[in-house]
Amino acid sequence: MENLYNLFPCRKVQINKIHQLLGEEFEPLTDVIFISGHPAVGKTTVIQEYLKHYRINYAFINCVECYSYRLLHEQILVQLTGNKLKCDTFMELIHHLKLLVSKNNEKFIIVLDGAEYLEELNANYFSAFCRLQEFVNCTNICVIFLSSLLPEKFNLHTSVITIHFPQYSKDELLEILKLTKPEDCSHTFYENYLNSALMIFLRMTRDLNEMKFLVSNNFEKYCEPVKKGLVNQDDVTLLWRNILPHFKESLKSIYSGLSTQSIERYLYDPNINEVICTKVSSVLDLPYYAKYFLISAYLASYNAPKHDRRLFMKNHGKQRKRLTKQQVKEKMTLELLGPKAFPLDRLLAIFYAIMEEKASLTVNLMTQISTLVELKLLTRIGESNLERPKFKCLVGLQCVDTVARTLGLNIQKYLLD
Amino acid sequence: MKMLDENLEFDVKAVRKFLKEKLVSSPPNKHYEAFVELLSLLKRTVSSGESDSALIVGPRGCGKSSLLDSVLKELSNSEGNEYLLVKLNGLVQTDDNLALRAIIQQLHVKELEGDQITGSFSDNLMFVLQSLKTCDRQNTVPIIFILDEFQLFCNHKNQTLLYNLFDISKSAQAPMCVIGVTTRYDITELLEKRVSSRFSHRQILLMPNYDLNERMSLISYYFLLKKKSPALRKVSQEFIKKWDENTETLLNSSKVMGYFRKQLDMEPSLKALKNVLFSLLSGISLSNPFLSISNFDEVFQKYSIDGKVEYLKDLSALELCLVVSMAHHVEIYEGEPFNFEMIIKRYLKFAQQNSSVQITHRPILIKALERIKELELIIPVSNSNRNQKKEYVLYNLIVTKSQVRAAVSTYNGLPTEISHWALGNVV
Amino acid sequence: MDYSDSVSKGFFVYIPKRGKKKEQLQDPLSEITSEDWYRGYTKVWQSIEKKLNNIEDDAMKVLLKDLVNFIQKANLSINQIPTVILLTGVNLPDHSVLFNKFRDKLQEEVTPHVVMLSSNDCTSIKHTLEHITCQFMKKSEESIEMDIDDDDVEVSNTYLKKSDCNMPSLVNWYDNFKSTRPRLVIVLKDFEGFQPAVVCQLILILSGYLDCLPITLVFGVATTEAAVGESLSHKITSRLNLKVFQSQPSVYFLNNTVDKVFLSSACPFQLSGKLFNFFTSIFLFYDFSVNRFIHGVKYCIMDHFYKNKSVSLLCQKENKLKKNVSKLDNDCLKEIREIPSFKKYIEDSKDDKLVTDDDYTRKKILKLLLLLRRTLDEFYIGLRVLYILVKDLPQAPFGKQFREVYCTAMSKDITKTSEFKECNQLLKFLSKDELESKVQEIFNILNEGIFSEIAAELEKLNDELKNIGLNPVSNMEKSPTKIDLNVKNRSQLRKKLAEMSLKGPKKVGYEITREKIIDFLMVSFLPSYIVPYTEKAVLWELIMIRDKDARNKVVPRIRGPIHTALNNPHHYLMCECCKLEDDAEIVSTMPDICIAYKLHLEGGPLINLYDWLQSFSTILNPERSLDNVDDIDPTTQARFTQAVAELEFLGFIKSSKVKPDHVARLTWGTNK
Repeated sequence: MENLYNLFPCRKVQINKIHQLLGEEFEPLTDVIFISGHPAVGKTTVIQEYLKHYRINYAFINCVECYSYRLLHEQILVQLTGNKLKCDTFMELIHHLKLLVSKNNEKFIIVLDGAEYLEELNANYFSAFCRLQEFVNCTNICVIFLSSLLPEKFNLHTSVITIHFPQYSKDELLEILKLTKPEDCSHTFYENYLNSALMIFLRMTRDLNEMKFLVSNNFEKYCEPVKKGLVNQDDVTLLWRNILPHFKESLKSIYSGLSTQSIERYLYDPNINEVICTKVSSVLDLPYYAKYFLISAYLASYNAPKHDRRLFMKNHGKQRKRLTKQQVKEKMTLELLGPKAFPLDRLLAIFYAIMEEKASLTVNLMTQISTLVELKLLTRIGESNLERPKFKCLVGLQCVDTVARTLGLNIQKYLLD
Repeated sequence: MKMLDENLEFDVKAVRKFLKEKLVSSPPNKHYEAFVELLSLLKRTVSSGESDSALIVGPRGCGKSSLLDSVLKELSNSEGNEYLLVKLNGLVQTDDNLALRAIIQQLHVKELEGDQITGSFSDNLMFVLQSLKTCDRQNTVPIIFILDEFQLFCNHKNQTLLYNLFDISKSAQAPMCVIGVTTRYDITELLEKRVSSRFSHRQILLMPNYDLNERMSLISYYFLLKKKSPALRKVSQEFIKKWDENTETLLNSSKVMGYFRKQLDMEPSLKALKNVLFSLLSGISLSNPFLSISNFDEVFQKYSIDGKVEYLKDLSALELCLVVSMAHHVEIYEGEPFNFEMIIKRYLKFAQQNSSVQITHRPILIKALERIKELELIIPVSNSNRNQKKEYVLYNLIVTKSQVRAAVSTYNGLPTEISHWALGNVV
Repeated sequence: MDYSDSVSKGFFVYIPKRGKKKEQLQDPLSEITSEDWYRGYTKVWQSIEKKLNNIEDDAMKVLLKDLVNFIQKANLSINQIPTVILLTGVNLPDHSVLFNKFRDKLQEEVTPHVVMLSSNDCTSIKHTLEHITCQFMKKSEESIEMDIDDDDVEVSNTYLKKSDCNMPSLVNWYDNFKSTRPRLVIVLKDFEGFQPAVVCQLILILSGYLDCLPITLVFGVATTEAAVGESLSHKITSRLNLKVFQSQPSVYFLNNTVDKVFLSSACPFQLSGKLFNFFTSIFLFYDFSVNRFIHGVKYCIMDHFYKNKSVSLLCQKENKLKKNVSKLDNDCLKEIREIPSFKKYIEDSKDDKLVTDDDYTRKKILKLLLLLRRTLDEFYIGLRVLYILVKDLPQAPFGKQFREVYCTAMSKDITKTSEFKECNQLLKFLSKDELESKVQEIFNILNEGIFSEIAAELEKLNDELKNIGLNPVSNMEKSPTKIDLNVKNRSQLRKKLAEMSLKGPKKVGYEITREKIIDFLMVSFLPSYIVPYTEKAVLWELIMIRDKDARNKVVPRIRGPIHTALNNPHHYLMCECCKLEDDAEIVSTMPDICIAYKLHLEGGPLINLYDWLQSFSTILNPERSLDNVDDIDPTTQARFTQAVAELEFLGFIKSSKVKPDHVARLTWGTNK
């Protein structure tokens, strides 16, 4: 038991609860346990380690991969019995399980991880697995559901024993992260580093995986001044000042999984015969006409059609004064409700209006539009209408603005601001 | 001392095991009229060979299965005649073919033990129908069919199985009784017209018992060791006596009765009660040989906490701010759905007013909102969102304002400006 | 059960299991491949292709090497799948080459187990997993056709059941490799095409198997790495250990390829300025695809060789010219004499022997061709010198790429343009270091043989330049001397001062040398060599490709040719039976679809199918009497139905919802 406590320093209460429910020999098991909690909180690892530690015969199924009944059933049977059995239906599963429990007197646990995916397979499977003890007629079998959703969202049709794994508090995170200390530094040094890191990052996220990632990424930079000999190990304030800008950088790329170190841009120039590594984030690079199409699509999506004439035609007369109230309301709904769909001819009209040169309407030009759809920069609405397709622009203002700048086009001029 | 410890350990384990095993069994039946009605129905089939059908209807956990169990037990004790019992469950027999195979297996259980029945649907159906139809009243054993989760059988194709079963029971060829068990009160509307016409429309309605005294007596039935039983032979009498005393005092205390009252109001089903009792029993160990009030506190904590509030408390500060923005939006716009853009705008307004280390980087906000979506604290309004940009999909918040407030007030270490903003009046 | 007559009849096709292999069919192109022009073309193209491949390999080499290294050394933790995001760029047609190279390199160096997935195959998680497991477990290198209806999938000689294509069997299969534990690489070729839900599920499933299967993922992303972050939620990306690799943008590849392969005198053919411009504009404006560019050039070369026989012999590498010239026969020589520049040459030289004496003509042709090669060499060297001088001038009057200089040079005399003068002036402001480095570069080029005297001259100037560096102070020490003005009055003083100011400031030593060098290069050296050789060389038409119809062939219009094909099949099929005198004529020997098409052109917006069928059968069998109109031959009806279905597929008609038994026309107007 001590091993488990050491492996999972802050999960003592939960491990105890599980042990109470599952740990006793020769006593009946409860039929269902539901373990819920935020992602990355330790549900899967704790249960698996517990079951392995106590050498209980269990089947662990990740419900994501069960896109067919057969996979689910056969996996359960293979893991519990070790034999490959053919099993298509739930009834056969019950049959095999009955045989299994009649031969053995030991405990059998079925762990279903990601139980929310089971609903895609069959909505009744939750209630079916909840009654498994009843169907197999044996109290040695127990089903454990693991999910990051609340149990009330599942139509279990019965009441179940639930164990909630709460998210780690600041102190708990500190405890756990201390375990990841690299070998070549002292405990206090690492603890100071963790304290500073947590102070910045804790507001953003309490996710353990993300914290581990952030901490491991920034540690090198934290150690740099010490390694160079500029700062003493114990001088926390100086170290803090040094690392703060790096932390702020990390803040910007949080949740994207990409740190600045993971982006290596290999701009190989054979003439110079060397590799230039830059860390500038990449800009969308499109062919000339495709850029214009993208810009036209953005304008078509975010401007109402009635303003087209005023914005794009050169010789439109002066616009009469309108009540400003209407415009403000319009602006809010347009911004916040997202891009609107537009038909193909409107796109072409705006395209020709903002382009200075003329481009003939060849196949190549039209394929630019479908390329943009393929690259998921535009999306096609409504599959049925082959002659009058409608599109919607999926890119944001920032991206379109950068693209327009490369063409020397000022997009603000055309927006309804 | 060590001897005592060992003895104590043995006692504790034996008692715990005994009680847990007792929990698994069905409780004594309390629906007396229904009991009488059902028993007479089955007796008629078994002794006189009359075919009939009935439906037992009642909400979950009100005692339908225990009623059936007690009726069947009584029947097997009292009746001298033979009868066959076929039990089907809608969750297991998801298809008519599977149901037929189960029927055949259960009817021929002596010859075909362990093997599985194969064969196509039409073959099986023919076999079953023939064997049921070609027997006459005198020479055949009556069959009792029990169909659990009856409403799922109504989803099978053409309701063939139901049609045939009711047909045979109506046409009085072989003596059989079809009992369906379901939770749906509108079950007759689910039946097709031709099936419904062959059904006798006899329904036995059960209601859950909200009487606290009944419940307390049930709990005493499960927890007290008064009745002598062979499994407890080796346990010391002293222990048993002490156990009973302790448990009775606890059960009579107002706090515990209050707990059970609360549970009865929220979840009257038998299963909920059994789960609570099981958890209580699991808390018994060598260091804790008798039930104590702390056990009850711990187990009943589940009924005093709100799962959603716990989830909200597990969010990071940024995510909680976003949820608070959503709650404000819902309040201002009276329940209209929102999309990510609106929430980001509202949050940025707040962040600009309070400049201390607020995160305003847009991709991070979107990722945080996605995390909230994955926890299903917000639900999209419609399912056809393939063509929508992620930021513009409309959602509804399924956490209430009071839950948000509760989470904010009990959150550990939340910066004060956030709690002021959350708990204050909406701008 | 008694059997009754079924109401409908149906025919079912039963495909027998594939038995012996089919015989090898004869190559249908064999008649073309044996012709002379084709052989000549192939020789030329093969050498070009070799060069192109080398350049491609070099360009990709470092990127691929690092990619493969990363995959080999990627940390195998249980928590995260090592993932590479390969930013491939928007030039979608070039991706297949890149991925093939990538796979070959991986299979050579790291592991033989590489699976390539494209978004078309992976519409649901079931299909995706089946594809992955099937491709890993196949035993031969053949590609597998997975037929959705079949239950068995043929894999060389053993059958792999579809029901076995799932993750647990993959784990079992991998047990065979317990000792070596090779990596399993899964490549998603076009990441944006995949549905995000499928990718998310795939990653969740694969991360569950990380302890038994060392999987590495590669995402081919065409836009930016933000696309990955947007389509995958945080839960998923936390299971990936991401690393981004990006290669040069494709413009760079184009410049590289074009500079090294096409724009050099070693290339047997030359592209005219206009044609080159055309292809480059397609590249820049449309699709960034180097492959398309090369294919376009390939087509033009083929066309060029197809035109006349003499081209196929004479448009070759220099070492083959002598042999080929001797192969020129009478017809070829006649063709050559018709070439405008040669004609002009004959007229100018007034040499009658060129018209009559074949041998003499051949010798002359050889001499002229070698001279042409020489001119080309000089042209290119001169052009490169110019490029070195102007490539990094502010505001780049000639553009920053060599190909831009080339285009300008081919269209007009570059030394007479205003940009040339501008460059001349800008060059006079060069700093010493820049000038030195430029001169060094020029020196390297000039040393290649032809221009040795120029090189020597330049070396002299270079030495002078270097010497200035050694004693810079000497010129400054001169104290200002008194100038003897010798003036009598104010007006003379004014005049003299004006004269002196016109002379300009006394130049420092470096400036003098600089001016000398620039003048030498720009004024005396270059203008004689970088004139477009089309004006002075002879027989240049043989090697220059200037297909004016390239525009139509490479970027074709769609509706025009289809309309021509359907209206007048003789234009393309060139069969004798369908010659039409009049456009509106319908001949019964035309293909069915053409007849149907021409008939439908006569109809209005809605066409009655029955009437159409009547006219169709009337054309096919004109002798059929009009009495029994209802009796239509089933064959004719079948042919008609097929023709109508084909027209619907092509998008000319659509079944109308307004009236039953009618079809609506979808196209209008007759494009010629």
